[in-house]
Amino acid sequence: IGFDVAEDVALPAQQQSFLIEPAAQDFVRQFLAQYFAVYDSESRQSLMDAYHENATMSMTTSYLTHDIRNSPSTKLHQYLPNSRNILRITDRESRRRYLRTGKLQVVAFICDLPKTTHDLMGFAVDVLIYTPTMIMVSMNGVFKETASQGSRSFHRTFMIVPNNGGGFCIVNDMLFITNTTKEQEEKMFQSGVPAAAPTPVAATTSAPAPAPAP
Amino acid sequence: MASEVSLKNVDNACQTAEEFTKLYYKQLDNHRHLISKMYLDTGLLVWNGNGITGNDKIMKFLMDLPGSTHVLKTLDAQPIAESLVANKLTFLIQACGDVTYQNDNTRKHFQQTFLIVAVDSKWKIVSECFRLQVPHNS
Repeated sequence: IGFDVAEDVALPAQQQSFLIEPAAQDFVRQFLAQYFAVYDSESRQSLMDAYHENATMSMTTSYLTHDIRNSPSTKLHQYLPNSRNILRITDRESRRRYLRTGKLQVVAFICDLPKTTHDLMGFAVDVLIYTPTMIMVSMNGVFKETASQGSRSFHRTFMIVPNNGGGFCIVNDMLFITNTTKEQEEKMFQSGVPAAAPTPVAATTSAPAPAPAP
Repeated sequence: MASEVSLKNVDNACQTAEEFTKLYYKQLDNHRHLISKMYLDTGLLVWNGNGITGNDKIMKFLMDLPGSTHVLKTLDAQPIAESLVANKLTFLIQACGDVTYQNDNTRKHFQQTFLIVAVDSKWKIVSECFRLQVPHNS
């Protein structure tokens, strides 16, 4: 005798992007294109302009469950020593220390992470808040490490606020890095040019251009 | 130098993230009909790119998903500067792990971010972003 429960409930289809305001699209597209152009370049130093004076950033990382691959390109050893996984880091002082605070610390930390190439066309971008005073954007996507050629999957959230110069800067940055699944690896860097794809924008060292007030 | 207040908020954010996620995933997996209380009336859930606004609609959406079991592997939390959020205590929480849905019983990797705010001494979800780890290029 079984139970009368729906067994064939499928999960809703995924969408590549959610925008709380349609007007967010151009701003976020341009902001991310500029940010990752610098992030993927030889020097991430000029990201200094992209962060708020008192910005905070933290990173967590973990291996995929039951991932039997054990090659140099799947090793996460360059991330693990800095992973602020508070399920494991339980003492107060370490929790404070692993949270990078102030844009000098944040950018120094980012500069030490492995060099990367992100698959910008393959980003899933969700804009959860879009007001004149605060923008919250979450990204999911994949990148390749330049040196190891390992491919990684990430989830990242930016809180973005207006800066004094009429532009915008990141005040909170939370990053999660893990390995790609087989499905992700097969599809990475294979996008055509979907409608929502970021337009290539020349990298600038300045903060992103101001968007019209939402 | 970070002030004493902001350091205390860092401690508080971590402790709250532990308690919040423990309750959230317990409700989602075992007592889903009670989960709407965890959202602001005007809360936002973005589930794999599908946006649902309002705690009633969020609850209906979640009730229609297959039964689930979430296992957390990483957790992280940061305070939002109080000057940005009208001095309301507000935390950003990121949780990652594995989820199994009862419709196919295969383990999927998920990543999730919550923005929570203290309202009348209760934590409420302002906005939430849930993504399964799958390819996104069409």
